[in-house]
Amino acid sequence: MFEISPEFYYVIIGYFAMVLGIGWWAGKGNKTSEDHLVAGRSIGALVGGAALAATQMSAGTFVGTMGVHYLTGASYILFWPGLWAGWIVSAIWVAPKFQKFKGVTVPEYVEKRYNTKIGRIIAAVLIIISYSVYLVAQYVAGGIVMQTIFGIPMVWGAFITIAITMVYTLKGGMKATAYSDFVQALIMAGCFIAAIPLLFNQAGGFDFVGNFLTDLDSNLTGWHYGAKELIGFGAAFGFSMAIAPYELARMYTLKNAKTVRLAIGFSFIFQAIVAVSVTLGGLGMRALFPVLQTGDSASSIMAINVLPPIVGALLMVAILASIMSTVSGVMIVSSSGVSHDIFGYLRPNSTDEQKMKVNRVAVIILAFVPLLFALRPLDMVQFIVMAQASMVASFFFAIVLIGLNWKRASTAGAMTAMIGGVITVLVWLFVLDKPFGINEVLPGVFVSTLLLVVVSLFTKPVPTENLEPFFGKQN
Amino acid sequence: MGVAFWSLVIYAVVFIIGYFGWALYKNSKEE
Repeated sequence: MFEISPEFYYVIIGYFAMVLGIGWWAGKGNKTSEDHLVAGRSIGALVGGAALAATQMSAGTFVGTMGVHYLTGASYILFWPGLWAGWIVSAIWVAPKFQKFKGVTVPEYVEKRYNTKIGRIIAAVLIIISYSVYLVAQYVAGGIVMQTIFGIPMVWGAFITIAITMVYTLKGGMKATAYSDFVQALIMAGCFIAAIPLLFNQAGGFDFVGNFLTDLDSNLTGWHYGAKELIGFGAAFGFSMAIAPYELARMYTLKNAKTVRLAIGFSFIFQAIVAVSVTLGGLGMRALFPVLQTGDSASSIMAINVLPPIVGALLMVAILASIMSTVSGVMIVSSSGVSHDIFGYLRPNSTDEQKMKVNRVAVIILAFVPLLFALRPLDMVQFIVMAQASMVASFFFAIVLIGLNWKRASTAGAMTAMIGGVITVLVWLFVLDKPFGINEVLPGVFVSTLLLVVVSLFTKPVPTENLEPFFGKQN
Repeated sequence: MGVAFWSLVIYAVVFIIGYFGWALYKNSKEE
């Protein structure tokens, strides 16, 4: 076990105090659902862009991705162009149109565009289940970070991380989430800009690290992953990112379509800094510590053992920030699914105040239920964790991208596409066992796109009033 | 490795400038 400097405690406690302060500040003006769930549609391009980037980066980026670079070297960085292609698709065909629709929840889009209440409920249920389970992985990572720093049991570490995130999310809603994401993105980018030169200084400089790693294993600086694998990773991330509901929900918070385009540009700046930094972090750590037990420990050992205490503490805060920003974003999207999509359907005459009460109860329940699974991983949880991102992508990709750009996409087409996409992912993963090593999201998206187009052509189009919010006045 | 790093940085900078160019152009055409 490494010695922890007292600076770590001060910096992390200061960070917790700051996000709680942001939650309190943001919550002051929140009265309606629109204030709470979409920040009154008031977020500008810079804050919004940072929030898009911070939501995208999770425990997986700092711990997992750096760990992959530690183990396999530089080539993994080439999944980023695929992910960015997904963002470009979103910027051109999805996000600005989605913002213009001015909804509150993502499943609401399904109902408004496809004239189907059942479709909206199915979308909400899929989001709630898959995102709740997604939180399990974030909680475990948060628990491990807190355990490493404070020496407390993992479960208490996870509990504290969840409790603080839940308090600022409950109090300040999407506005608190967006502004704390902005601060978190600045911390992530800033600490890396400070940390990477310090790491390479200790490791002997760029060229020394490059030569050392090439001697250790030439694949580390060459092609550990080949073109086929990298295209597979890139496509999987790209398809998911173009229509990720937790990112689409952020589009509602931005002022207008112009802000959306600029925000995606600002998110690229934050993403680029983090992408290059986690790659260099993994490579530098491999040169300094060639035989760590797991790649996942590279980032925390870098923070505690390599960097000066203040920078190291900021890196640990950045890891916590990446976890908390994902958790708060997911909490808002899932809880609005309960209060506005499901409760709103069951009680169509409920007031905004009632929905907000249900929303707050849902945040508390959805925050803590995944903790139970984190304590005792069940087979079912593992099953959904593996499949959740691909199921969400296969469910939403065609109905969002095509639905926003093709008037002919029909209700029957959308229903078969949503269900067909999810079933394809499950069959590909658990019945066929991933044939040819192809990522399940590719057949999932392909089948749902095909179903949407073919079934729509043979069924009747949606009424014109459902098209008007997306395509303007119809003749 | 220095060369690889700087090529990556240049790639990212060109990509981001290109993106902002498109976004500003598209925004100026709207309304």
